[in-house]
Amino acid sequence: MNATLTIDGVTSPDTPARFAPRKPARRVELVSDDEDAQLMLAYASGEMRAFETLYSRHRAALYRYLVRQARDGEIANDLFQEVWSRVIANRARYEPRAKFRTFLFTLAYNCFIDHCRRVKARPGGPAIEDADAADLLPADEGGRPEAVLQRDECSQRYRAALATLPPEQRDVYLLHEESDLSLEEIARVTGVGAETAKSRLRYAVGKLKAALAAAESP
Amino acid sequence: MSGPDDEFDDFLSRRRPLFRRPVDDLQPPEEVDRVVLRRAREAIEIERPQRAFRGANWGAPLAIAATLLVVFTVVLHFMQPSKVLPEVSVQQVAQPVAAPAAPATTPTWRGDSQAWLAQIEKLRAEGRDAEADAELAAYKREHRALAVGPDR
Repeated sequence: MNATLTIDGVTSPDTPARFAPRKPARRVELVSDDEDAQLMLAYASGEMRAFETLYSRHRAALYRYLVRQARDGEIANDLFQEVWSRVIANRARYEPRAKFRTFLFTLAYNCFIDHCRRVKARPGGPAIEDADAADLLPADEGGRPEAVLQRDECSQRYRAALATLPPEQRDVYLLHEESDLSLEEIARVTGVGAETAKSRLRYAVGKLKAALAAAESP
Repeated sequence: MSGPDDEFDDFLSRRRPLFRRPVDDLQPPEEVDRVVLRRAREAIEIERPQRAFRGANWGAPLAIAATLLVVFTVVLHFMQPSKVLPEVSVQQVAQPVAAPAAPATTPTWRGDSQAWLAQIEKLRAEGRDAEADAELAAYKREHRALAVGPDR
């Protein structure tokens, strides 16, 4: 499929103002459905603005994934920079065989696994930032005091339940939550079959639901 | 067992209905953003001079090879004539001898009429009458041409 993309027009709705394009529009011819892959190719050919667009699209999701995996803000910052450094370093060899997001989260997953090998342990215990509290309730309840209290309690239960998940189930669950990848793509990232990934996700979701339900019951 | 399967597939199709809200405040620090973007910019800015320098990498050996070729050719050119020079000089000498170059054999005494006449007298004194007659005829032709040429 051929289409034309204006780089200035592809910033995501929640893109921070500092990433808003400032220069006149430049046109990039698309040769596939994955606009991110085309942006990556444009960056590899020297277009810095393509990288800025790419970065603004994926920075938040990638950061959330790494924070929830590492459970430490400093480590997540280091891993985040390492992932993007690998993206930058691999720009000349990049080939759009899969979605860019798959490529990005594969790098993130590998960076995290490398980190775990370096420290010879996977992070344990609940230490996710309080921002996760906002994830647990519908948005329309966000402003009321009782909702805030309930949110804190839910957040603690959620973090505790997430911490009890086996690492492989947590990997699949967090990739599903943060990366927007399909099960097949998550399976490719984690190096397992699609059925295995689905099974792990099913167990993870079941355990989280059970943990939250048990905590809510008197 | 289709109940849990359907419920799970429904969960997968809805994506993130359980634990996420539409807007998440968790963002990388601005300092981290700056570091990443600076690295990305530096990577492509450094690459441009490297590409230009890569041209010089193969250009330098090519220039050296071309210089050596020119030097070798010049040296060969100056060494070759010293060996072949005697043969060439013999040919150069032989060619004018074989050619019927009449003007080159003109005697010097013909430039001066007195000397020319003295030479005729000398030839007659030596008994070379034929040559003396030929010289006298030539003398007359020459001087007749001079006499009638411009005035007529």
